[in-house]
Amino acid sequence: MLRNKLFGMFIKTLFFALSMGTSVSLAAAAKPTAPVSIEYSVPKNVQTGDTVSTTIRFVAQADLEQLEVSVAPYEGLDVVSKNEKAIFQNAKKGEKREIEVTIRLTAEIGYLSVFATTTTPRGTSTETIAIRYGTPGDATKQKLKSERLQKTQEGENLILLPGEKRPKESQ
Amino acid sequence: MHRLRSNLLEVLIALFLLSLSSCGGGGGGGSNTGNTSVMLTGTVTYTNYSVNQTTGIDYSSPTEKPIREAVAVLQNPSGTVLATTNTTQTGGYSFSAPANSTVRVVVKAALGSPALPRVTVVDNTNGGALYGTYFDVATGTAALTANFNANSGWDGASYSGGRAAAPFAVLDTVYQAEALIKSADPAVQFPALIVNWSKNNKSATGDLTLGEITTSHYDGNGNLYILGAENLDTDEYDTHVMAHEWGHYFEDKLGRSDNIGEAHSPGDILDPRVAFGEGWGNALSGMVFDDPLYIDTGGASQATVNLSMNLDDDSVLDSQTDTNGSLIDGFYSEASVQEVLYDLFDSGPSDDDNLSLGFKPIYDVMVGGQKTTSAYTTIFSFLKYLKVANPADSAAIDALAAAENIDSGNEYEASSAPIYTVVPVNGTIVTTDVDGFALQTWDTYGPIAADDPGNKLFNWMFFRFTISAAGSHTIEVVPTGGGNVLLELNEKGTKTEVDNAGTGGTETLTKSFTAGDYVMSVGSLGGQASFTVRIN
Repeated sequence: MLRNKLFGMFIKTLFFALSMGTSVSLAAAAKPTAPVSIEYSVPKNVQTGDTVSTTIRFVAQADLEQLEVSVAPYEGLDVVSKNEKAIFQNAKKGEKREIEVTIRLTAEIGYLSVFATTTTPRGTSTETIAIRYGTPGDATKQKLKSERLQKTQEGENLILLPGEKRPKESQ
Repeated sequence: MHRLRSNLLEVLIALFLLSLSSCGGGGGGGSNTGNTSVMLTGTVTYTNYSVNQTTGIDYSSPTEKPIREAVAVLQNPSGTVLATTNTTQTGGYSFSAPANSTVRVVVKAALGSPALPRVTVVDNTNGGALYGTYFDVATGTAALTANFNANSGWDGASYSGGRAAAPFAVLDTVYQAEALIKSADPAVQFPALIVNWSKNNKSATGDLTLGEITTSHYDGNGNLYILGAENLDTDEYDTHVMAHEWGHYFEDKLGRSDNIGEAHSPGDILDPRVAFGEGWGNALSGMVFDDPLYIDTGGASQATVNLSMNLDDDSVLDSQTDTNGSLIDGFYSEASVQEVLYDLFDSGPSDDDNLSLGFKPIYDVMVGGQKTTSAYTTIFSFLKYLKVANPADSAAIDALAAAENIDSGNEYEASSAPIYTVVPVNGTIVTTDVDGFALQTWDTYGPIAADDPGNKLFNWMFFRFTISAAGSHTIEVVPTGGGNVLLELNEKGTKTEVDNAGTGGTETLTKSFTAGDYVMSVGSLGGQASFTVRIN
């Protein structure tokens, strides 16, 4: 019965996208996103001051009228390459588009922001990822530690931020 | 001396009586110079922003919303806890505080008992420390009011200050979601939930303690992870995103989810378990706020609308197909599922359908038939038990689903398009699927990777079988083309995964079964795999 109704629509054919690089995937239930997956591969031992080139591949998960991609430094690195943005037209489901980005790591670890905006008949949506370069060490842990962290007499760890006074009349 | 002692005693008695009056009466603003304690009351709020489809987060119109039913603590200057309470539904608090002293009111990002909160918002990049906000108050001898607000830290261009409001924004969505559930089931008991939010939580994949959480998600174990990295992706004010993730927690802890997770988008042709779980999350977010507009913001200054959808809309043309010619609408579409569920719920002038069941019938199925079905949790099992409980609306429910290309059937599948292959429990080797094709996994709608069997339709093939009498049985999945197959047995939500044999090996599961109906699925790693199935 499935074929009677759906065969011709549910054609079980080979999916022509091949896995390449480091695929970003989830093992948990997550929020919906744009119909594009982003693949990349980063060397393990990037050191502060190193310059590294990365090919970032965008795999269409639906027929895309347009795919607009851009990168930006998030923290701890500079983008050295000139092309920080690209627009691709008519990427069919499973097809790949790619850009090459060169960064220079300026801290122990750094993150590159990657944005991929897809346009389909359903509308426009954006997938965002951050690519990490470098290996986290003491400097990274120290940076993450909140200066507001305190331990109560009961042994509870709290991050307390001050409130701001409001007049009685405003309530 | 005797007269002096007598006078002193009279004064002490008078002070004691005044003190009793003050503690019991709740203050009132009078000046009682002899009080040892005073009533300290106030309201605590957090800065909230709405989101819209034009500007993302709308920083131009902040509001201050009450921190509702959160844990509140009164401390003395050395940090000793003097009293605990919960704020009210309007953010109010009330303590009897020492007179002529400096005290600190701490409000924690936590719901439930002050001694053992059931919901906490913590920083996964700081050892799971709980967030809170505080305000120091100098008391005198009269009752006083101290109102304070947890600010967002937004200075008009960036978050330059402490983001005190964010954890409370997250907490308030949980509060709102719980309120919806309580409206259907006042006696509900919520299992513990830890919400991990941090300004360091970014869409990188790696170490959770560094904030590399990939995206906002539920981890299947009582933890939500929520993005907070400015200029990249923040979700604390994306209330529908938060509620979507909370919906996964709800399914896991109070209902049942067979959702296998992973990345998905509204146009995908998904494994039906994923389509239901994600469609449920989306629809629930609209139900929680009685607002069908789902908006996910991100990017520079949080001004990009990453994703926007109206849950009430028929968002896909009925004839629209994907690359393979398959209709986008269907039981495998989270967009179709969300539209059916939201249409069942909504009412009022904007309602575009003929059904307005409200939330309770939906809730009853989610914690009832959908939890105990022998089938996988999909839109089919949901609709089956919704119709059982609401027979008068059965035809209208079918019509609503049919509008999304979801045909009627049983709790497993549509009568017109079965997706389960029945396996006899007699040693017969099953070689073909329900459609007569040689058994295999398919990557038609999404890839099957070396480390990821995928979450699209037919990445996993569904099977059902009936055990007529209790006893031990063996399930065998034999690869016939050298592939690497996986087996998952599902016993009304209890899952047994078998992945022992590696490439070319037969996966075998022997166990005791009680009489009844069972389902299982077979996936593969490293690409499509052909196989046979046998149950002895």
